[in-house]
Amino acid sequence: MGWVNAIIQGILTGGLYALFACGLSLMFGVMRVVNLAHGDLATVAGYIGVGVIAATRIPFLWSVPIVVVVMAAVGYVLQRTLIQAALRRGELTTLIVTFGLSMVIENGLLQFFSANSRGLGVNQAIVGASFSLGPQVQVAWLDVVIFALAVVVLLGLQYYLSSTKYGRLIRAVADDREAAQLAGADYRHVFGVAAAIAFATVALAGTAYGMTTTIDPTTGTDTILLFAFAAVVIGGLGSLWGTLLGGVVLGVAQQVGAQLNISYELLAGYAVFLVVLVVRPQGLTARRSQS
Amino acid sequence: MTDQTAMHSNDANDAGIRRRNLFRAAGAGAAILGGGTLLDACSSGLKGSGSGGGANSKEITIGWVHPLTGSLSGFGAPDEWIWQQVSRTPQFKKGIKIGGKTYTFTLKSYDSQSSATLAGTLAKQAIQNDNVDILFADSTPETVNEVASQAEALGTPLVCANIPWESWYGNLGGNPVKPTFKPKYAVMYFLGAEHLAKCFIPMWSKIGAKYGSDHTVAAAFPNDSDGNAFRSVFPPILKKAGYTMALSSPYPDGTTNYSSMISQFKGAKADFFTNAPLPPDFATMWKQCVQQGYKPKLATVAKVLLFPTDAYAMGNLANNIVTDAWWVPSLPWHSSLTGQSCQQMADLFTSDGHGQPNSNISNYTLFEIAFKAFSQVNNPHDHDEVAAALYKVRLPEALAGPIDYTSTNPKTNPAPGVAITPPVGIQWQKGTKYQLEAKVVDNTLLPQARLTGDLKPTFA
Repeated sequence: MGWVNAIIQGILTGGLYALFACGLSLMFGVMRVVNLAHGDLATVAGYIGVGVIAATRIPFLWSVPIVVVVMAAVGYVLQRTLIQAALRRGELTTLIVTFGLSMVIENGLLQFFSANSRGLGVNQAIVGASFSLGPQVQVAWLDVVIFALAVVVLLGLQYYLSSTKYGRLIRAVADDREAAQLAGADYRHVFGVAAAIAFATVALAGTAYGMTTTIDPTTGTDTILLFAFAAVVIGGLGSLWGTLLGGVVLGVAQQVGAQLNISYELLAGYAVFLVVLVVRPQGLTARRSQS
Repeated sequence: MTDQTAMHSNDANDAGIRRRNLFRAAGAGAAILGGGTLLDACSSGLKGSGSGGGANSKEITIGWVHPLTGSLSGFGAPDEWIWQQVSRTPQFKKGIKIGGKTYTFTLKSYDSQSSATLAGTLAKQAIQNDNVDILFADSTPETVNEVASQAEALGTPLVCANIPWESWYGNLGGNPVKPTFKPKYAVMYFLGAEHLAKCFIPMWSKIGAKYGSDHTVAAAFPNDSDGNAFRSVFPPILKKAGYTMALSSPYPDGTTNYSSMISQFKGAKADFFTNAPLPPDFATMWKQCVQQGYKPKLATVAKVLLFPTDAYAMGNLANNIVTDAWWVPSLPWHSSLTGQSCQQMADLFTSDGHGQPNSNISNYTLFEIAFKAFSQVNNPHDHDEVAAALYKVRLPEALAGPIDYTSTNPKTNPAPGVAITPPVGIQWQKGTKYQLEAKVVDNTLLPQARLTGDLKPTFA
């Protein structure tokens, strides 16, 4: 029963990882930007939530759409200004710029919010609630909701990119920027929209993280960024389903490792990450390139 | 539906190339990351003025290595305020008269950014470049141990606080079980892991007497220096007191899911819970304990929920959790510099806009010890003389409690250079002024401390 529990908990944790990885995967897929500030942006989203609630005293749940909209706007603006300017100067520049952004965010948060940790929605009934699946399996509602959210977000994005007009435009720009431009698409705006979507998912991920644990200014680079990278790489770049699968595989690997001995939790996750890199470097879902 | 999305291009080789790019990119990022911390090393949080004192300088330079930013910055929160208070005292304002000369005090603050490596680098910088006359280091082995090693190796007097004495003493080469070794330049005041065990046991017994007890304690100690110290110190003390332990395997810091550990605790039906985690890990662990239905009668935690803001971040979930406090406003001590009482200092802290009093106001005593040592030397720039003076410091009254490095009483001074300031048990209870207030609920180890609340079960 312990193993069943480990696998269920792992799958649910994987949902959170996938939610984090989604925006990273999207930014890289469309703009080819490796966003090293990804984790910090999730933290920022959490702090915006803290700030909005403190300033307006609205219930926690209402703050979530506000945070999502604010982050999407931030994403659009950042992409059109800072990241676009960096993109023109080459791939490595975006890396340095997003790294710089990460430092600025981390220290800015320290300045304004101090290093004290904050929780989000801590007094919501759902945080402590769970249901039982058998004698040794207790499933937390919060984890279920986050997992469901991850599936909905990834499904929705998948549908958006493959079946809507604008989604197809994003794909067209990602595939061949020049050709799309010749056809009359303003790729900068398209990039901005893609960034807005990515940041909106980051906002959800940051809020979910703030509910499962606490956030502080260093959370972003210390934990979030690494897990998001691992999930993207395991699942395979370029596939949203792969991202979900990557998150789940990472989560299950960690929990199965922890079931053996809790010292192995993080180790097992990274071991799977390495094995995937060696055996299937294109990731679990991406198709092998045919040259 | 296929898995083809925007991120798939028509180029057959693309996935492979992008992957390489990603790693190249990530590698470069890591390289920058390493560089970044070195750059940061130059900055410091509190501004000290003037350059380090030379051999003839009439300035005594104090170097303070402490965590002002990063995950441990809760510990450093009162430090700037403490220096404000200290620098206003007549002793530090006017300076100290030594051999007919008046020496003024300068503080140089070094922010460890909660990094052990950086703490060591900064200590070296303080000693070799800034010529400090004395060093302070406080808050967790991660900050103190590297500094202590440097100070001992490079021969600079050092006063430490807020580190379990066993870890401090062991790091310098002593054996806590046979404490014959005497550090040359470093002294410390705080408590030890044993005191936490001895502080928690009476509270388990009290709750057990009222609500029943199976005398089983679930313990989650991580695989880090504090965790390992606790894992060796707790079992024998608990065994003697008649408690059995359900001890988890040493988990790594940053673990995200604790279900396997929690099922072990549930299986053991442990009535009591104890741990020594990093603060974010505790938030994760405790939420999962509640979700998975592990509800101990009393949770006594170490190293977390020490400060009000940590408790606020946990909301209702922090209700009725017990931890230790090495300093509370209801202690009967007074400042050796001004005579102010603990309560007066706490009130001042609050009225200066810093909220609920913070246990690390006890860092004030770093300055009391240093001042006392400097008042007993002929040349404050002579490191050996100052270090010898540190070992002669006797303060019957100090804000953190009586300090006496000349005593050999194993209860108050278990090893040379170690002064014990025992803890009291505090419980986070629903408050009237603040959402959660730290109530002093047990004073077994420090009967002089006034109780301010009744011990309640975490889960009845």
